[in-house]
Amino acid sequence: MLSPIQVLCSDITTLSLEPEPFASYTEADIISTVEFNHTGELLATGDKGGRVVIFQREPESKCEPFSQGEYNVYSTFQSHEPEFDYLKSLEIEEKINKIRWLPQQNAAHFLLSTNDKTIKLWKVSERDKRPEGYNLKDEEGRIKDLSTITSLQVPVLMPMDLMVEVSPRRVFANAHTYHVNSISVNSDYQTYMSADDLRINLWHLDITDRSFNIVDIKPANMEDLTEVITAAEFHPHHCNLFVYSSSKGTLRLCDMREAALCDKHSKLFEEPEDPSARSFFSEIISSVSDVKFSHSGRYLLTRDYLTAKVWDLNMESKPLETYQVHDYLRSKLCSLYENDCIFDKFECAWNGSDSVIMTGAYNNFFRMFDRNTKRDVTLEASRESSKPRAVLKPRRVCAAGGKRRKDDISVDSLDFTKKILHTAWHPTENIIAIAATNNLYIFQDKLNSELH
Amino acid sequence: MLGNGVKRKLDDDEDVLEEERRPPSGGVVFQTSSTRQTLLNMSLMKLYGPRPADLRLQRRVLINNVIQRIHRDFRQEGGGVGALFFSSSSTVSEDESFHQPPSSSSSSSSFSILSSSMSGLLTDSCLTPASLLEEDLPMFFTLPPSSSSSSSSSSQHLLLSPRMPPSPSPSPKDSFSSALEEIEELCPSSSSSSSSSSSESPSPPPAQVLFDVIMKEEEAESKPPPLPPSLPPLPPLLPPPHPPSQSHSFLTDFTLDDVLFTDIDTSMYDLGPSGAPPSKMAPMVTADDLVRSMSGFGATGGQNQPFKMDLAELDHIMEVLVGS
Repeated sequence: MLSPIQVLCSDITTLSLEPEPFASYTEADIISTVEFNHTGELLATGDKGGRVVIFQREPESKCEPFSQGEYNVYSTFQSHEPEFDYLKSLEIEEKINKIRWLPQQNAAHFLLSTNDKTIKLWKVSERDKRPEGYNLKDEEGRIKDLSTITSLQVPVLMPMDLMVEVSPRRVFANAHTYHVNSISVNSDYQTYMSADDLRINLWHLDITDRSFNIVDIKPANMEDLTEVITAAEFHPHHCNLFVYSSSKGTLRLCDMREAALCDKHSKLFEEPEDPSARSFFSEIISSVSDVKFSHSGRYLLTRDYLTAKVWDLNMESKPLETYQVHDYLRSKLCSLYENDCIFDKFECAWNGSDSVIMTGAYNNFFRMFDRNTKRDVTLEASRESSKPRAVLKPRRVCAAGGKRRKDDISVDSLDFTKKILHTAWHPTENIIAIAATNNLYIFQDKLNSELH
Repeated sequence: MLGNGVKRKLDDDEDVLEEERRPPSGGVVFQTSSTRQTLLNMSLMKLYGPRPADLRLQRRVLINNVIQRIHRDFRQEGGGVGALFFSSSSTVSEDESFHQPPSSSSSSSSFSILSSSMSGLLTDSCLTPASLLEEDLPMFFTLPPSSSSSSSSSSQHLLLSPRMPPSPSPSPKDSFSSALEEIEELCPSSSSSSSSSSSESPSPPPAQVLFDVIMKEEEAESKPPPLPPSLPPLPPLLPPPHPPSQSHSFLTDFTLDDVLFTDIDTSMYDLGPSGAPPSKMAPMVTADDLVRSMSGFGATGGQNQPFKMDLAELDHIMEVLVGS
């Protein structure tokens, strides 16, 4: 399905406060999360400054075929503000860690956004009519002089310019001692969970003053702490199942029907360590940075530092498939540890048909792996290579000193400050959203717009 | 890449480390002490260096696990590795083996990693890097008497006191756990009380404590400590108590007063010019001895003796740092 040569046309939308290509950006503009909604019509991004920007896809229009499918800014709002925990003398960052959309149930859209401590439910609604003809107020809103009113009228709804209103509907606060890393909406559309380093809480969407702790891996003696929770997600279809990953590379599938506190897993997915490859960094690079259920619910996709793995829920002993994302970094782990890049948390994504997986890498590269054909491609998200409607050229990273083709990049010239941590794939079409620092790229496969 | 016997340059150290780390076919990875050393220094710097407050729990846990792993490796080797944490090219020649392959350049580089990161804290060899001051370090720094004979010169190994923490308490985690506790709880009031006992293990990390004091001092003074450059840094050990450090940053929690007004055993310094150690103590070495030993001429009064730092010895250093 993925033809690496032709690959993708790019309908690029870049989000940047500075239009010039080489202008510096503020740290607040760094995109920290990207998420399509369930229909793919809306795309939300959160940034380090606590803002959420929602893009909407322009509907297909016969008269302007080329503008079909472009994403334009729909709404922008400040979701979280920086806070200060006076008790611990700690700053609470306003950075949006995750955004998750709720399935649409009426005309309004709902999304959950979270920073390190607080989750908020936002309602995004449109207003395109307003009432006119009040009895007591005139058109500008001033109170009428009662003596001038001679008759009663019924206000009428008149069309107006479209306005997108965003309002916070719920604030779920004070439930997490540690930093929230994941939120996941349950398939029952009534509950959701939030996971921090040591605990996972279950919330009801309507109840903000209480949450239910379902996983707690905090040891009695904090000195014994060696493992933390890194990501968590509900099963897409079974509302009782969820999975969480750990910093030691394990995945635990838990069934909420078994016990109130799901400390005991139903399934433990762990790949035995290869003793010959053991190093001081083995544990760090095995730490799972992201876990995603497949749309079918049958598979799990995990990302650790060097690989992406597909697991079958029915097989706990080892992953079904392992994809090397950037194995050329394996010999550079010490340097990457020194500059802290080894702690980077890359996300991963399935396509709508679960046949292709995608994840980011360094140098603004991102990789896609076709599970069926076993082909993979490396692409770059950069302004230079992403002119509108240009076809992305596959890139290649060659080992230092190895045979180098034209346009190849040597490992040593990779830019480790340009990392693609957040990517998202449209739920039904071949459209992907790539967050490269402060820029958002949206690529579309016009040749194969339907998923195979 | 470099092969055996080729002189390594400082820049190549990291590549060499990577080389060493690449596993030979089918075999267990051989990690040299210098690799471990560098890693340990790096890890400690990350945890205790500037701005540890930015560290998330996950990162702390992972770094701490690396440190634990290194400690385990050291222990497995029976403490036979006299790793030198600090080296100055002026005082330590490359030939002085430290129970490791001739890689003092790696040691220097590891030290330079440390020194470059610690602003204002370290000059060439004046101060003890953070790595020395972990409470657990004495364990693997100890040279059992039998193995010391293998050292080429008697005492270029600067070893910490082998005062092993009696319990297998996760003492290297003390600072870590204190940081964790800080995340968790509000710090109770007793942080400045010098009489408060450690709330954690029975053997608190006095080394850490002094390190923090030194760090504070350095940050306050922002000038190199007044130690002669040739004096090898001595691992400082302080007697307990140390305050239950529960501040988010270990550094900010500790007050200088606790160090200065702690009852210091000055019996060491009441000795005559001969510097003879009190008989009840293990073989002691004065600073002069260390200087002499560093140049490879053998310690006073004995060859191949592991010398152990006493608390008083380090208090002396502390006084030098603070007082002058």
